[in-house]
Amino acid sequence: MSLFSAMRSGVSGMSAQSSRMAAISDNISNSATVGYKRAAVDFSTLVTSSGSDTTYSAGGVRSNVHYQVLKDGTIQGTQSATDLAIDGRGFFVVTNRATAAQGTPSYALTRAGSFLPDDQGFLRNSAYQYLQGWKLGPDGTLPAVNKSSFDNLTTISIAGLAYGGSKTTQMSFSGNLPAQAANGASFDTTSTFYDGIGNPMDVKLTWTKTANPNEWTLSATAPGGYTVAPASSTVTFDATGPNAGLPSGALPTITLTSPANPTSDTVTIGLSNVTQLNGDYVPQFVGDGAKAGRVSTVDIDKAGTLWAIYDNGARQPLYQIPIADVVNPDGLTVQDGNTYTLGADSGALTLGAGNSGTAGSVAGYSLEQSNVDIAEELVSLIETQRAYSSNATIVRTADEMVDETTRLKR
Amino acid sequence: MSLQLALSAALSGLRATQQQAALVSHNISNATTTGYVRKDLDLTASVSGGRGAGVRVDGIGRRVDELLIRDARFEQSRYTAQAARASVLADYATALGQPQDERSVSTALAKLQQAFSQLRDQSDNDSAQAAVVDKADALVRRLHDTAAAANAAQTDARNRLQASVDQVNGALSRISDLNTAIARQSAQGADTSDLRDQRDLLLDQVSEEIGIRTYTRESGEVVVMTRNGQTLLDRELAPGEKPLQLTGTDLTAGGKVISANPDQDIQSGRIMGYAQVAFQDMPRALRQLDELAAGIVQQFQAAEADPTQPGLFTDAGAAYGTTAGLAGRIAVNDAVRSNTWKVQSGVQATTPLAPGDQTQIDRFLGAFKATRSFSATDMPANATLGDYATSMVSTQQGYRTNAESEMKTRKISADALQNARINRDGVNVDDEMQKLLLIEQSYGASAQVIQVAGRMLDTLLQIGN
Repeated sequence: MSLFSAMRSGVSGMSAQSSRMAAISDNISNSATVGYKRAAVDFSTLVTSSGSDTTYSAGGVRSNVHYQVLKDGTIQGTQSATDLAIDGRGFFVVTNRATAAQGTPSYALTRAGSFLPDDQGFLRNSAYQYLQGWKLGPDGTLPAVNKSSFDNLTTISIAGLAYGGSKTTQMSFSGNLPAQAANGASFDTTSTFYDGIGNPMDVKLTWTKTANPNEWTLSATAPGGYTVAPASSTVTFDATGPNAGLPSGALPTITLTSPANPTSDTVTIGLSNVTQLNGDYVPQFVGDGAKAGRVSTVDIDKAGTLWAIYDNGARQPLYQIPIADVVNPDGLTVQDGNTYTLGADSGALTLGAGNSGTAGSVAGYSLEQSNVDIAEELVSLIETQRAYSSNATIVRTADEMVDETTRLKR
Repeated sequence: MSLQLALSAALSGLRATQQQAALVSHNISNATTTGYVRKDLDLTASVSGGRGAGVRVDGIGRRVDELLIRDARFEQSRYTAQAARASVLADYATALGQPQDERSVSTALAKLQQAFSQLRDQSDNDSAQAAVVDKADALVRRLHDTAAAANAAQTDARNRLQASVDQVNGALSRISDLNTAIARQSAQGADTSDLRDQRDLLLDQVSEEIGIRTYTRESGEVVVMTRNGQTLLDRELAPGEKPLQLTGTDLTAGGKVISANPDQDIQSGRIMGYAQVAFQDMPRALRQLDELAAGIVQQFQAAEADPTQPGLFTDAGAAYGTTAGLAGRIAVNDAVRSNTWKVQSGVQATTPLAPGDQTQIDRFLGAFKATRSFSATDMPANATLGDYATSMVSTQQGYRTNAESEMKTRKISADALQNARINRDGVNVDDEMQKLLLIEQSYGASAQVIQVAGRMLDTLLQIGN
């Protein structure tokens, strides 16, 4: 009988509205949860009998829950370097265990990036999930890793980063040589460079005026054990014409080679902007590299590379934080702690650096707020309340009608 | 939700204006602090996720004109060079006196000549003879005193040079510490502007002592060199390391002797002034005095019967030996003290000449009138003793007046550049007060936004009822 189907339909409507009510209440209660993605309840019709165009049998309504994972929340600035947010698509990879010794880790994806070091220096978010990354080689390059599975990931640890320095590889000299200098006059400049273990070394460049006009001999004095090539070279300057005061030919490049223990390092000294004008000897001799220093803080760049910053001003890349992406983020399975696991509808997983491909860029000192809009939820709340009342009215009216029917015979 | 965005944007505005207010108060309280540079808060619009989200504080701006600072430092150091030189030379010039002064060497020499002229008219007069001995003694005393004053000025300059060198080394080691602190703080993204102020102040101090050139590395560390490229500080100094060293008469910077050719290698700063006095002006003055003393000893020795034996003036009792240091050793021959008749008859004479015999006196007077050759810098090559003495005193006075007039010229340009620097970088209290008004209004506006957003949220919650 259609009347009973109408009553059933009203009940199914009440049930559907109550799921929506539950979703709204979850959304509002998580409106301040970092990385929370709002749950939405959609409805679809249920048709029990079809084909008849003379009677109507109400089928009711079915509710479908889905999470709006792709809808970004507002990114807000914070004061912590390890607060991370992803601007664009993608997820951080996290596990529930820091090390394999604590049990088999289960991997999950999250956008909740409020990471802080735990007592052992592992970066952990407020849901006790550990951030995963690829360890970079000593020269800052990414070793061969599997970019479609979690296999090569390790838990990022920022403890135990004691001392580090960076060796000098490039130096450059520029400046003016005094054109008025007497034959045989020499001018030298010493600068410091750092070897691989952070020892300061002195290299001296000496310019000596030769007997030939506008010609200088450049020689480099390297610290003990180092070899210099070329040990001495001649530089000639134009005295007249459009290039007066500038070098006549190409400037030499000097290479310092360290003793091989077991392999040798090289420092290249490039010359640029050298002039010979009547004036003072004004050298400028600079190089990269830094002495050994303690780690003072860490910094995360847009690509998701975690840099250690030393108190001597040097920076060193330590980890690559991969940004995970799936074909259909809305199809991920929702788990506890704002995490998602791969589901039937999510599609294949890819891992990669941030700010490349489809992956969004990583922003340090910021967190993604929930994507819940309270105004929208409150309006939905009103709608839900009205819809629920309407459904209840259907049930009550159907009940009254059934009552009418039973009263036909007294 | 946009309303939350409005709240957080307004909050960022409140935070930024609070920091601005703190900075303005820091500026005002340091308005008269030496070396303090005005700070500004660098603000940019914050964008996250492609949406505007309030204001972001990028850091504290400290905008200085490095070229102006460089010029101001250089002019200041050229001024202090001349001021230092003038101050040491002034002490010596007081002892030296002017050519016409009673106490000057040239007056003492002229008086001796006068005494001889008077003796010529009354050659056997005991008191006239005694007057000659007296004037000869006075001349020797003047020469001794002037030489002592020159030596004292040289020692004084050397002592002050040492003090300047110590001050430079001390300041450089503090700059080295600040370099380390600045490199560390800027790596961490912290504010380094006050540390830079301190470092600039120390660099100003160093440049007053010795002219410097500087450049800044990418890490924020400053490299300090002498004007002619000798490195004084690169990266950091080892504990106890002294980039400038004074050993004997050699001033070395980074292992190179820079005092040999100060005009090229030092150029400016107090160290330049003191080095010029200690290694150039005073040795020159002493050489000129020694030449005068040598002229006096030799001329009077030549006026005697045997020109190889000691005459009226001796080299510490003996005949002329060497010129170096003679102005301090010259003495009146003791033979004339007991036998004053010897000034009439010749110091080497054994018996007095007849009264009225003027031959020897004429020879003594001839010693004054004869032209002889001198080999001191800045001095006439050929002159009589009197002309040489007068010229020497005025030349040496000239060293001081030159230094003083140059000091005054430099002072004007140094002051002009210093004023330009203070006007550009210093704190203008009027500007700061105006900024404070803006900050107050902007703070009020942000707070108003928060109130309105709060009321809007209230309205939203009332929809349900």
